[in-house]
Amino acid sequence: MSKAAVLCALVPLLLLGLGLVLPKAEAVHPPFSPPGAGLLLGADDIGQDVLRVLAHGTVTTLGVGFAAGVLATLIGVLVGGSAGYWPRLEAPLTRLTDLVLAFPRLPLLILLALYLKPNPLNAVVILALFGWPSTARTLRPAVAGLREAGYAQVARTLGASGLYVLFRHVLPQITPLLMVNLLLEIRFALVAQTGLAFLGLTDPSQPSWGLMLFQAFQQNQTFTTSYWLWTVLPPAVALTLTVLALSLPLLGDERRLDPRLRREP
Amino acid sequence: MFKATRTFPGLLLQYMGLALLALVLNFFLLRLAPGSPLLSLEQAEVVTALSDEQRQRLLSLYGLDKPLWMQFVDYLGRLLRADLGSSLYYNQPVSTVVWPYLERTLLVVGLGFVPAALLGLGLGLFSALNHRKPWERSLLAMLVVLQSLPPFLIALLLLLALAVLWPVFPAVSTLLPGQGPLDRLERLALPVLAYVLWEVGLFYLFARGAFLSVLGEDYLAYARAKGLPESLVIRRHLLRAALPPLVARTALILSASFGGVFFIEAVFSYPGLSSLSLIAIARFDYPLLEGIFLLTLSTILLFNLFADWLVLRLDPRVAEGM
Repeated sequence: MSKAAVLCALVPLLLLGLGLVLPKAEAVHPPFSPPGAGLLLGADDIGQDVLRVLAHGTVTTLGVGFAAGVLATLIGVLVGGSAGYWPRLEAPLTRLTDLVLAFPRLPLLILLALYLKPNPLNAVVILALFGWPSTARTLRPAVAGLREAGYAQVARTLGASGLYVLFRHVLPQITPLLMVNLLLEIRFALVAQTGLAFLGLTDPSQPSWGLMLFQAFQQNQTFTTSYWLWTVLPPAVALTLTVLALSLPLLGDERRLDPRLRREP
Repeated sequence: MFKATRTFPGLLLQYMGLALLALVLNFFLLRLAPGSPLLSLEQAEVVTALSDEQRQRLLSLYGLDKPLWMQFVDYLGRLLRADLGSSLYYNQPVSTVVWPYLERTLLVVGLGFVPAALLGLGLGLFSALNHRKPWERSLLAMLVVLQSLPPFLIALLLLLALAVLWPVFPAVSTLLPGQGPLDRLERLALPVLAYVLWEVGLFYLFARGAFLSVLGEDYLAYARAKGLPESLVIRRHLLRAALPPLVARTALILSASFGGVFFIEAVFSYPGLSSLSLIAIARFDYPLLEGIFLLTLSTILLFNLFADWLVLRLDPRVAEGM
């Protein structure tokens, strides 16, 4: 399964590399030109090279997804780890986690997006604020189960502080769980960002896969001509492959397939 | 050991807090957003240039000239009278505007939910009974992948496959005025199909997990050992133990699915709540947007409350904080 995941990841990673190397797309080609020599993926409605837009969109999409996923995991680790390690914090932090988890996050995300017209930076913050509870919820019992382990007790007896024991002895024990959560958080952020952009709720000057789809859907001839082949298909395929690359590693771990831990939009 | 206080009054209190938070966010975020309702009037060239006096009159007509907190008090007062205000763009009461769109969204959810749930539960049972067979692994892999795809991507791939490459269905699910979705079933088909495909994986995983955990119980081995026929074991012991919590969690999935429907509708331009809110966003129609979000949020919160209550009633392990 992980071989397949690596294979899927190749395409988005290649696009990411291109996005970091290629100059920004400019409206210099005849609008709607089909793919041909020198224009591998044709041109869009304002005459930009679609390949360049796609490559730069990959930088935004993967960048926002990755950054928000990492940030969400960090918050989740802090909240869930503290709740699991310090019995006194357990009740309030668990209640906070449940509260955020119970809130319908999609309508609220749309509201926030409407208010901020997110540029990549505040998109990262918003998405992280919505993503962390699932990680916190998975980590709490795992940490609680380890806080009385022999080596943790020994470390405390030797005078180690709680934070030191938590980060040095407890969290390294659950690295696989952390990795799985990181993948899930990145997937959530990436998908949510693309969804918001697809509704036209992100900064229109920042190309992303979702924004490309949004712009293609604005054109009348997208699906009546073959225009969709080079404007809709490439971002859709890139997104599908990325989601697969982030999901396939989870297949090996059957415990993570239990959706009771999550409430997905 | 941490004791969860999962009681019904506790739940109710938590949801009331959430509802209040939703109200506050709903009201203030929109007011603080850039743009103004008058801007859209001017852009629409209905009124090319407003004099200062006209502008003032319009603002006071809609109560937009008062300080923010007074607008909020007005808003709460109106809500208590079940008055959602009137849409600035349509110039009609918000409830009148929203209702047909809400109906069409609920139609997609309603038509998609039952087949998705039945199919998911059925496949989950089948899969659990055939655990560890090689083809069961492939079924699991397939549904896990399906479940991981976001709703608008599923909708988009369906659109490309069944409306563009092999055009059996129309790509656009818009309706003419006066047409109901039931008059044009072929336009309803793709949104509903997308909903089913998106939800079935989640139901399947829930069901498979629940059935597998019961199948591992000793009393099931005992029922088999005393010679009960397999069909009775399944009906009397497996289903009776696994179904109630599953039913309760099904309600949770239903309420969470409102978010996904939003994107599915947008892909097919289906005239449901999502297209209405995109109109309202473009026109800075605050009262309409507030109405839509209030209805969506309260529907979801009510469903969640109902589902949590069901879980409490049907799954005693949750009440004990396990």
